[in-house]
Amino acid sequence: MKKNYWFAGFALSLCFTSCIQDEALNVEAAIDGCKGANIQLVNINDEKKEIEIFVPDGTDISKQELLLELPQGATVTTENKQPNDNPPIYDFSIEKDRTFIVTSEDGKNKAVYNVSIFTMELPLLYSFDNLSQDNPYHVFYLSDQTKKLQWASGNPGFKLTGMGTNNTDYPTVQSSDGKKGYCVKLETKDTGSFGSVAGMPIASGNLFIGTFDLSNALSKPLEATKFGYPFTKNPIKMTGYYKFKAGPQMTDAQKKPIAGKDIFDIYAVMYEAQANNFFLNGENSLSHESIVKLARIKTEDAKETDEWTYFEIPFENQNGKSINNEDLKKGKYKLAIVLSSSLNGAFFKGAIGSTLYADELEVICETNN
Amino acid sequence: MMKSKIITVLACILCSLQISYSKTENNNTHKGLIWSYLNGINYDVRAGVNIGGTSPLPLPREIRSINSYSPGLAITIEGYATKWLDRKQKWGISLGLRLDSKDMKTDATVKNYGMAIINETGGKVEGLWTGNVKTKSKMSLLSVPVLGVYKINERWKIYAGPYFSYLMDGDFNGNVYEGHLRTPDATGSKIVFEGENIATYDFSNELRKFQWGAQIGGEWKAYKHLTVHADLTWGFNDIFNKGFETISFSMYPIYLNFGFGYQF
Repeated sequence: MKKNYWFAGFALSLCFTSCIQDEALNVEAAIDGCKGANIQLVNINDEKKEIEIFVPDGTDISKQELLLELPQGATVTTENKQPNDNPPIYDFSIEKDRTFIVTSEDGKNKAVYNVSIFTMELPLLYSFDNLSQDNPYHVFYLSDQTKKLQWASGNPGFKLTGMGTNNTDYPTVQSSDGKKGYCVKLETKDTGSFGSVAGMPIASGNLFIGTFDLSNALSKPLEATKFGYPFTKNPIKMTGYYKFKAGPQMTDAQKKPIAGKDIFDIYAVMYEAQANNFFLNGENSLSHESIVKLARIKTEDAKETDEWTYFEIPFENQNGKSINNEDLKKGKYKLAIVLSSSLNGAFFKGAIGSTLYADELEVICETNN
Repeated sequence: MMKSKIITVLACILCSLQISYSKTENNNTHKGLIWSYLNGINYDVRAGVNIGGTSPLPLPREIRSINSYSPGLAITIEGYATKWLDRKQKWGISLGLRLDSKDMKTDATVKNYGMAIINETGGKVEGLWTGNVKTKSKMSLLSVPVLGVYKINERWKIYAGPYFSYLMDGDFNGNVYEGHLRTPDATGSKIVFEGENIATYDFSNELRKFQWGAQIGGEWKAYKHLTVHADLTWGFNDIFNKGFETISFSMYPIYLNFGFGYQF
């Protein structure tokens, strides 16, 4: 009996292993990442298949290096070849919006991306009045004037939980009852069974200057939030308006109830970035040695309130450093503004239902710059 | 839930056996069985284990390697009535009733394998998975085989025919780990899973209730009443419902059954 049993198991597994067919060519067609000389920030929108690349003023965009990260075996071509095109060098001097076509290894799938290149400075006033995208979730323009650059948020990660049946279910949404016009509403949300299994039982509403690296959202959630954009002014203070209501029950990273009351967080951090590809992230954005200036709302000032409440927070020097004007002009500093509906949301601690509204944020700088 | 169902069915079988026994006991002879014998009808009860797998055939190209396989202990209990058609009792027809259980666990490496992760609110994340997949498949079935029987000699008989199964309870679930999900399709976003990252999936509700296939096997009479047997059951319809397209290929249960029986 027993012999039979093992023999059959052996025979079957032998059969299975011997029946493995030749590997099929890969079907994936997408641009998963983009790097290259002078690139300050890359915004890849997987939904709309749009890639925005930001480079400093004065960059020679007729010879822009784009090191595209593609799925195994996929190839990329461009429409309307330009004179200086010599992959991975691409010429954006004539057409600033270009079409890149990724073809899967098996040739059956094609993804068409619109790739555009920008040189732009950070705006100083943030009103949250314009969305660059409202489906399946909201994405805010950073600049309401130029409608360029976008606020990053964890919304693309929340989409993976399947908990968002419509765009207002997401943690970061636009709301119509702003201080002036629209505002941003951040709410700490339950991530459901998928989030629990992934060890991320809640998602705080967050909004930040930088990029959200969706591919690492599960494997390295803290590193997936990359903060900062080059900033060439010397900031003095950040002002704005908020409303906040804490959720009823604090929970820890295992979703076990813990004592305490949730509070929100708003801060702006300026840091040295000698290399364009250096970013602070969710893990080190308040502790890294490169931080030069920090403006953060004090926990005692972060009160629950139903009324729009004005705040004014000064930038304070950190790590014994101060702004070097030479480096400032060269674009060697980056600024990030970060808002979160739960102070420790990055570590999955917070209260489901904690809601922060914010509007009319402004960074006030020294005028002689 | 499943256990209670099994117990009920077992009780029914025992009752029917009990009835046939009590009949004979009442008459103080084995009159019932003798009558059956004279009319060319035999009865068998058998117990066995199912070892096999629920697998696509042939293995699709999405499956790159099977890293581990374990059959699980799937016990079957069945009863047959065989009506012999000729005087010599060479040819006959068997009608059976089987409590079937088909289990397996696998760990496979796949490439671009259709996957959907569904949460409690019904929200789902779909896409193509490249990486490792653990699958646990467990089905409890009530099966009715209808077999043509040929007796080679006093010791050996062989049989073949269709079987029809009703799925009483079934699980088909598992998790994915170490790899990446491309969602929602081949041109979508890439999500990397590393180390502790897993996502569970559960297609239990998509399992088909009625399944059928072919059964072929042989039985050897070891002693006067004791038999041993080996049967192969091969499912002919996909274990998943028609509308279910997340797994892009059909999967068929293929199991070997070994066991022993008592012939009345």
